[in-house]
Amino acid sequence: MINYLKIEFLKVKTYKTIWILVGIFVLGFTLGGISLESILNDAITDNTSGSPLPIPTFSIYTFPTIWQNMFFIAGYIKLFPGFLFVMLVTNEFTHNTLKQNVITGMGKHQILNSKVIMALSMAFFTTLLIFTISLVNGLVHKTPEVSWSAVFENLGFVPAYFLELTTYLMVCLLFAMTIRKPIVAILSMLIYSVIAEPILAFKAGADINQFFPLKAANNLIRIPRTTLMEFFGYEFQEFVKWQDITICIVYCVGIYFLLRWITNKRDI
Amino acid sequence: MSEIILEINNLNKHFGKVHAVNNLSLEIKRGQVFGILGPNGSGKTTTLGMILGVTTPDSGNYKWFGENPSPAVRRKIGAILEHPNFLPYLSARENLKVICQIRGVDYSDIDRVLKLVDLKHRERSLFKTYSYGMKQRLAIAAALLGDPGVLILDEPTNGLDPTGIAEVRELIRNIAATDKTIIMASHLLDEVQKICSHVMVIHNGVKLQTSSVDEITGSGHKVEIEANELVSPEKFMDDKSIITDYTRDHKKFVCTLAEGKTPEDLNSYFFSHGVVLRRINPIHQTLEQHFLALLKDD
Repeated sequence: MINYLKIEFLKVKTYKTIWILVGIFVLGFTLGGISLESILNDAITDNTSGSPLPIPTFSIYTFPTIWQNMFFIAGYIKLFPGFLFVMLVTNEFTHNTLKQNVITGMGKHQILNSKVIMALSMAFFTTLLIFTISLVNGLVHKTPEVSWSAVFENLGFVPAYFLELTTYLMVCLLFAMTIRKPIVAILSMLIYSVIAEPILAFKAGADINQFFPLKAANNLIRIPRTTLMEFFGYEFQEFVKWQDITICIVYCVGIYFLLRWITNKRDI
Repeated sequence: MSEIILEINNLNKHFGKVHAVNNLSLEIKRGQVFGILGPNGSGKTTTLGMILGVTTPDSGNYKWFGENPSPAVRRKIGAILEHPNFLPYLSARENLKVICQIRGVDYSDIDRVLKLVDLKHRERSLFKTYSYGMKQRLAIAAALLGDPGVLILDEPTNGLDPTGIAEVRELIRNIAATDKTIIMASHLLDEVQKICSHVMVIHNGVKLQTSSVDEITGSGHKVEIEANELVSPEKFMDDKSIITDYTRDHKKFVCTLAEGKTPEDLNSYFFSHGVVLRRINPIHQTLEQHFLALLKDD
C-alpha cells in the first residue's frame, strides 16, 4: 500500500499545474474560513436594517458547534477536490500511462487500488485542512467561559466529513474510469453533482433520495442550528446518523467492486 | 536445448469483425533476437499487447518463463508498446522514477539507462519538451530499467532520424550480445534482417512462417554460374536431384539447388561431366524478396 502511495505521489510531485490549483484552493479556503463569520453577519446587518424583529447574528466559531458549522459549509467545496481527482485520473488515460504501468508490472486491480488510495489521501488532507482551519479559528475566537472539553466535543463530524468526501470521490472515480476522456468526464461529473442528482432528489423526496449517492454523502452532516432558522421551526439534526454512514459505506464498497469488475472486462 | 522464455498457444483476438490475431502459436527461446515481421495492421502490436497483459485475448494462452501471466512476471520484462507513454508534465527522470517504483528497482539505475540512450544531459527537461526521437529513446531507457532478461520492442526505430536509427540498432545489437532475449516487432525488413536472429512473418493475423533469419537469407538455394564456352552446361541441367530449376541469361545461368545440395555439390557435378565453371556465385536472398514472395502466396 505504501508503494501505491509512493507511485501516486511521484506522479503528482512535480506536476506544477496541480500544485498551483491546490495552492489556490488552500489559500482560498483558509481566507474564506477566517472571514466567513464577518461576511455572513455583515450581510445580515446590511439587509435587515429596517426589520421589525432583531435578526440574530451568527457565531460560527464557537466550540463545540464550530465543527458542524465548518464541516457543513465545507460540504460545498467537494467539487474542487473532485475536479482535481477526475483530472488526474483521466490524464493518465489520455497519456496511456496506466497502460504503460500495466506493461511495467502493475495489475489492473493494483491500478484501481492505487487510485482508491489517491482518493482516500485527498479526502484525508482536505479533512485535515478544514480541521486545522476550524481549530485555529475556534481557538482565536475562544472565550474563557468555553471549557476545553467543549473544544473536543462533537469531533464526530471530522470522520463524517472524511466519509462524505470519500463517497464523493468514489463517485468521481466511477466517472473518470468509465468515461476516460478528461473534458467529458469532468463535465459529466459536474452536471451530475450540480444539476442531475439534485433535481432527481427534489422530485423523489426525502424518503427515496436519502439513498442517492451524493445526497447520502451530504446527509452525513446536516444543516447546523441557527437562531434564524429556529424562528421557522426547522428541525435540526446535530449528530451523524448511522443510517447515513451505512448508505455511504455501501456506496464506496459497491463502486469499488463495480470498478473492479469493469477493469477486469475492459482493456486499459 | 535452451530454455523457453515465451510460449504462446492458439492465441486469438477479434476487434469487431476483424480477426486481428488468428490462432497464433509460438515459442521463443533464451538468447534469441526474435523479429515479428508484418505490414502495418497485421497484428504485431495486438500480439505484443496480449503477451504484455494490456489486451485481453479472446481465447488461447501464453506463458512467460513457464509461468502463467501475472504482474510479477511482467516486472522481469522490459517493454515498449506503440508510442512512448509518459506523463508530459513530468521530467524524464521523474517519469523513470515511477517505473522504478513499480518494478522495485533502485533509483540509482536511472543514471545508467539514461547514459545508455544518451539522454543524461536532458534528464531534468519535461517529457513534453522532447522530440519524438528522444521520447523513443526514453522509452527504451525505461524498458532497460532493472536490467530485465527479456526486452520487447515495438517498432523501436519509429520516428528516428538516420543517425538515431543507427544508434538504436547498435544499442539493440549490444544488448543482444549480453545473452538477453529480445522480441522486436517491425514492418522494416531491412531492420529485422540486420538485428534479428529469428523471424516470424505475420499477415492479417495469421502466422505465415517462423524460421531463423539465416535459413531465409542464407546461401544455398540459388546459385549463379558461368562456364567456359566449349561445353555448354545446359545439357546437364536436367538432373533434378541436383538442380530443380534454372533460368538462362546469355552466358549466365541461375540454378535453383535441390534440397540439401550446396554450391560445392553443383561444382563437382559439372566438373564430373567435363564442364569447368569459371564463375560460381551463391545468391543471397534478401528478407525482402522472401517476405514479398510469402505475401504473394498468401
